[in-house]
Amino acid sequence: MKQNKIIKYILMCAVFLIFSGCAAQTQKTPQYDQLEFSSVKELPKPETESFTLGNGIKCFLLEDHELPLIKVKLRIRSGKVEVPEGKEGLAEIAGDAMRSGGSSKYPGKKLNRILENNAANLNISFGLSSGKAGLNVLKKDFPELLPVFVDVLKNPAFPEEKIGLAKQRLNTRISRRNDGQQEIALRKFKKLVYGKESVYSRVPEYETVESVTKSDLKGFQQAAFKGQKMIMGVVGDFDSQDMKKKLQRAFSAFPAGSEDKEFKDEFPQVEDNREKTINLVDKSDVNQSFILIGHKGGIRTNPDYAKLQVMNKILSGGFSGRLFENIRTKQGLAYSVFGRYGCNYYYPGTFFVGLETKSASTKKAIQKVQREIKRLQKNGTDSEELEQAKSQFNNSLVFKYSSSEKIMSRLLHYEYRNMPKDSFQKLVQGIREVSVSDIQEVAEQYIDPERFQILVVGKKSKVYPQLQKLGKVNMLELEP
Amino acid sequence: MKKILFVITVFVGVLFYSPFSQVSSCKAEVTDYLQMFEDKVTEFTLENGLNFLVIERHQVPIVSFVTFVDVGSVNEKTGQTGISHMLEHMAFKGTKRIGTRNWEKEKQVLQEMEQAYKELKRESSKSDPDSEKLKAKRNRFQKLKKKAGNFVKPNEFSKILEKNGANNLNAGTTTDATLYFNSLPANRAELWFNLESDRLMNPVFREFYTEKDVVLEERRMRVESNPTGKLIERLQAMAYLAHPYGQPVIGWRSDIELLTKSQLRELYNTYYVPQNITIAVAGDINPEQVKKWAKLYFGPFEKGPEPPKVTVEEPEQEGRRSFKINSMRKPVYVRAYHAVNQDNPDFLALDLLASVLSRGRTSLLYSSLVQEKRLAAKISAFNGFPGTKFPSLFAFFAVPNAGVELSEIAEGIDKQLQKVKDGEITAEEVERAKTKARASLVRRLDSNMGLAKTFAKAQGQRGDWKKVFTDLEKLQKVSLEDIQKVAEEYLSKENSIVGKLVNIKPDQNILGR
Repeated sequence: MKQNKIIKYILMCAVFLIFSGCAAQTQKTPQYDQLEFSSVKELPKPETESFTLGNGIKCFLLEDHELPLIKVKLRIRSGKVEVPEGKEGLAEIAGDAMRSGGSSKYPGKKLNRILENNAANLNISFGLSSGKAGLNVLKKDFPELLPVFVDVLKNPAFPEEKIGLAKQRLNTRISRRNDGQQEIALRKFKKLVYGKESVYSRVPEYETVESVTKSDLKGFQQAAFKGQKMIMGVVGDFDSQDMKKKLQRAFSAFPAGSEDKEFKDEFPQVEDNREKTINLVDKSDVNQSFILIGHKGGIRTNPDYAKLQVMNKILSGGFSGRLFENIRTKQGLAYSVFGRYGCNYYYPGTFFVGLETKSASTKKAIQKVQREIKRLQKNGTDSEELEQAKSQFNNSLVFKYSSSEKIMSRLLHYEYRNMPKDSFQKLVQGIREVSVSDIQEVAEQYIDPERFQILVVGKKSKVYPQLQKLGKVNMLELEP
Repeated sequence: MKKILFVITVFVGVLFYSPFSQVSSCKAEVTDYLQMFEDKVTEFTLENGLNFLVIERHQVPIVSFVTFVDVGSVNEKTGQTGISHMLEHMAFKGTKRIGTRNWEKEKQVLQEMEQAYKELKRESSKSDPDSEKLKAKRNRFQKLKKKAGNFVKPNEFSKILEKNGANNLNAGTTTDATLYFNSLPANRAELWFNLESDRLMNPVFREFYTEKDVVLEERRMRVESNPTGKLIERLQAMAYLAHPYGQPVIGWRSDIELLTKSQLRELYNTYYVPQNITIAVAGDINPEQVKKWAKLYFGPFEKGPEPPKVTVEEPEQEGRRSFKINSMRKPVYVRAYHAVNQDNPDFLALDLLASVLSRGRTSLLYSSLVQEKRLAAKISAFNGFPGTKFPSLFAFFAVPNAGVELSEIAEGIDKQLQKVKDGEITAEEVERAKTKARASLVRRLDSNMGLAKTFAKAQGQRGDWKKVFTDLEKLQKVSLEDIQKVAEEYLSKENSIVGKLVNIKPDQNILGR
C-alpha cells in the first residue's frame, strides 16, 4: 500500500516536470530513480602474507606501492583491565612515559629529533582491552627507524622526570574531568551500566596516580611486550620477503612469554541492570542537557550480531535513521543525537541513545526517545525501511576496501579477537539475510526499557522538576 | 592506471625528500611534480561560469565530490549573522521534486506560513503587543507549520544518497566558504550530478523554523554551554571592530532567532550563482564523462549578477586589548595578533613560525612549556584564524596544568617569542618545519576527499588549484631571517588581543608541580 502510494507520487512529480516544464530546465534530465548504474567494478583483492615469528609474534604483511611509506601497527594483548586496583592510571602513564622517555639508547629528546626530522610518527597507548603501538615512516627511513621503534618498546628507560611529567598530565586531566558535560556523562553512564566498582568503569584518582612507581611501569611493560601477546601488521611500499627478514631480525629480541593465563579470563562478567533509574548530575553553568539512556549491551560473537547492526542503522544510521528524523528533523529537539546497540568482544558493550537538548525540553526529549524505542519493539520495521538500511550497508561496502590500511586494520581487528578471517564476509552475508521480522525480534529481545539507566548532565534548577515527573531522581555527586 | 601510480609516487617521493636537501633542488622537484600532476587534473568552465575540476585517481572505484561556494559568515550583514550556516543546513531539505509529497500544494502552504510568520513577527515586535492577537497569530503559524509538515518526506535528499552507498556525506561553513561533500561508488556518479544540480538550482527551504531550533541547539552545544567556545567567539569579536571576521560563523543567538526565509532566499540569490561556485570531482572517473554530465545537469543553472565583495578594512589596533570570562571551569588562555591574508607574501613565513613554535614534540613551546617547565597541558600556535581570505589572526591557545597561573603561561610564551625575534632558532628547526609542511600536504592529498577539498578551495577562493603547490615551493624559500622578521613585525604587544577563561570557584585540587 505504502509502496503504491510512493510510486504514484513519483509518477505525479514526473508528469508535472514533463508537462508543466520546470522553469529553469531547458534540457530534459532524467529523474534520479530512473538512472541506470553499471555494476560496481571488481575490487582489487590485495594479497596479505602471514607468518609467526619464533617468539610467537603473529605478522601480517600487505604490500602497497602507491606511496613510498611504511606503516607498522602493533596490537598487544594488554590494557587497563590488567591494572591492579589502586593503581588506576598505570596504563596511561606507561604509554605516555614510554613515548616521551624513550630508551637509554634513544632518550626522549634524541628520539623526537630523529622522528621529526624525517616526518615520522611513533605512538604507544593502552586502552581498556588492548595496547597499540605504531610506526609511520618513509620507506627510505624504515631501516634506520625500525630498530629505534623496537628499542623503545623493548627497553624503555622510564626516566623519573618523564614519569613525573606523565603523572602531572594525568592529574591535570583529572582536575578538568568535570568541565565538559560529555566527559561527565560518559564516565557516569559507565558506572551506571557496569557498576561503580567495575573494572570497566573505574578511573584514575590523584592517589592512584601518585602510587604508581617506576617498577610498576616496568612490570606492566614487560608483561605486555611478549611475543605471545603481540600481533603485527605492516602495510606499505616493501617487498614481503625482505620485510619478513627485517622483522625477524628486529623483533626476535622480545621474549616469547608463556600463556599462563588466557587474556579473556581477565574480563569479569557484568550483571544486568536490575531496574530503571533516573539520575541527574548538576552542572549549573549550562543551558543544555546532555542525556544518555540505555543499559548493558552485547558481545560481538552473538549470532544475532548482523541483525543488531541493521537495527542500529534503522535507529541511527547517518541522516537516514529514526532518531535523526524524529528527534532532530521533525522536532528540532537536538543538533546531536546518536545511539546504538554496542557489542564488544571481551566484555559487554552498552546500548545507548544520547542527545543534547535545551534544559527546558529535557523531559520531552527523554519521552520521545523512549517512545521511539517502544515503537521499534512493538512495530519493528517495514520492507522499505529495511531496504534503505541494507542498501546503505551494501552499496557502501566498496569504501571498506578503499585503502590497504583499512584492510589491514580490519584484519588485525579480527585476529586480535581470535575471530575467523572471514568474519567480515560472514557479517556481509548475515546482513543480506536479515528480514523484516528479525528487527522487531532483536529489538524486543535485546532492549529492555524497564532496565533503562537514564542519565542527565544539566542544570538542576531547570531539569530536576521535569525529571521528578518521570519518577524518583537520584542526584549523582561529581568526583572532586 | 600505472601512470597515475607513478605520478603520485613521484609526488610523495619528492615532497618527502631528505629534509636537509638543498632548497634550490627542492624547488625544481616540486615544479616537476606540479607538471606531472597537471596531467591528472582537468579543468573546465560551463557557459554560465560554473567551474569544474576533475582529478583522476583510478585505484579504487569510488569518487568524491566537493561543491565549494564562495560565501561564508564574512559575507553576512549585521543582524543576519549565522545565515550562511543556516543556508547550509537548509540545503539538505530537498527540492521541488525531492522531499515533498506534493510540491504544488506544499508550495501554497509554505507561502501562507511565511505570511503568518511575518504577521506574528510584526505583532511581537510591537512595543505593547496585544496578548490575544499574539496568541491567535502564533496559533495560526503553528497550525500552518504542522500542515506544511504533512507534505514533507523528511531527509529524502540524504536518504537517496545514503541508500546508494554515500560515504562522508556532510557539509561545513566557515568564515570564508561553504562546502558540501560526499563520496559515492564510482558506478553511481551520475546520481550525484542529478541531485546536486537540483539542490543548487531548485532548493526548497522547507522545515525552516524547526531547523532554526536545531541550529540553536548547535549553538548551545558549541558556545553557550561550552566556555572554551565562548572564549573563542569573544576573541574574534574583540579582535575585529569593523571587519566581519568578528562575527561568529554560527551567528549570534538573537540573529538566528529572527532570521526569515526571505533573507535566506536573498542570500541564496546573491551568492549561489554558478560563477561563485567551484566543483571538484576526484576519483575513478573520466573527465569527458564529467563534462557531459556537467552540461546536461548544470547547464541550465542560470548565471546571476556578480556577488558583492567585502570591502571593509579593519583599522589598526594601536594597543593591547584584553578580556576575561568568569567561569566555573578550569582556566584557558588565548592570545592573538593581527596578521595577514593567504595571498600576502608574509603568510607563509607566519605558517612556518607557527610550526616552529608548536608543531610536534621538538617545537619551542612544546619542549619548553609542556616538557621542561611543565606549565601547560596543551599549547598551540596557528596562523590564519578565523579565516585565510582576509587579513586574519596569528593565535595561541593554551591549557595550563593544574595549579599553574595564566600569567606563567603568558610569560612562557613571551620568552619563546623573544627567542624567535632574537634570531635564536636554528636552521635545523626551520628545515624540520618545512619537512612537516611537505609531509602534511601529502597526507592531505592522499585521499580523494582530501584532494577534492584542497583543490576546490584553492581554485574557488584564489582562482588556481596550482597554488597548493606553488605555495609549497615558495615556502621552501622562506629563510630564518624571514621568520624572525614576521615575528617582530606582527607579534607585538600593541597588536595583540588577550583572552582568559578565569575560574571563579576556588580551586580545591591544586597539586604541586
